[in-house]
Amino acid sequence: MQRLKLGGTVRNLLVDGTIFVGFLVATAPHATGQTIHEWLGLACGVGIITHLLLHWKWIVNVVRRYFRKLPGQVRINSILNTVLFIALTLIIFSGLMISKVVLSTFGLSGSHDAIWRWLHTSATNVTLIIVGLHVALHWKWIVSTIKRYAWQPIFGRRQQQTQPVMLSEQGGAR
Amino acid sequence: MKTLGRTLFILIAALIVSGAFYALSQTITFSALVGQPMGSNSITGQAGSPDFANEQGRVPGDVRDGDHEGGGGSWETVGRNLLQIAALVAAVQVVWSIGRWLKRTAASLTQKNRLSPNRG
Repeated sequence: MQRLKLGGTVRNLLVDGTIFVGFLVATAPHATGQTIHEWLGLACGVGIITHLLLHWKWIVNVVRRYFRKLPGQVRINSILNTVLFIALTLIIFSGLMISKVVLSTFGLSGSHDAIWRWLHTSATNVTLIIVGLHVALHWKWIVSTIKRYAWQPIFGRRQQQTQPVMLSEQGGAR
Repeated sequence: MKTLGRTLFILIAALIVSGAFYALSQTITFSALVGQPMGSNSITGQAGSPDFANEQGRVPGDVRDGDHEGGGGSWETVGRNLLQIAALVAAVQVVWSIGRWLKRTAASLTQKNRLSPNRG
């Protein structure tokens, strides 16, 4: 069986898209139910680690050049990403602290402090804003990648298929 | 091996952040700031979690019209959050295009000023 080969860009798009959808769905525990909410949140954590590993070179480069000359957009991006990492860590940590399903799977019980629930909700609300800004900063890349790897292969091929038919119809009419 | 080391690095960073917040949460100043007394069970008394964003502080047992535990009502929250993100993306794009337009206008004005025969 032939192994499916994914280019770096497509792989990034798939990982990022999955994290984004997973995060959005995890923000509605009433819709998914507590069990899916908790496991999905943890899965998002794994997705974020994957995302960081895929962009490791960028992280190292930015950290190395942080106190030297760095383009403004890169600097804003790095600050935003740091805040996003802290907020996401806080969501997962506070979520684990108030967990009812995940912790009980391992025979543990969560904390009942209201402070953790407050932190979980507040960190999520902050993260939603930062995710919006993160998406906005990468909007050009997102649009161009979707156009190139999703839109064009589907609709471009369809256009190519319809064009010869139209030409042959024109030829027949003549 | 490299990936494992990097993963460990990320986990340690997450652990440091978590530890810092845990230490912070144990201080009286923090609970006073947050407005939630330590060890209180005021919100957590009931099962489930509130939906996030725009529904902050809502008690899970508090069922509203069309919204019930595990039901479809809260998919609205996903839509609302998606809209919020879309609005942010749009706002940033607008701000950027205004910035680019201002830069271009400033550059063309400088060029015009340079080419102007009345200059100097």
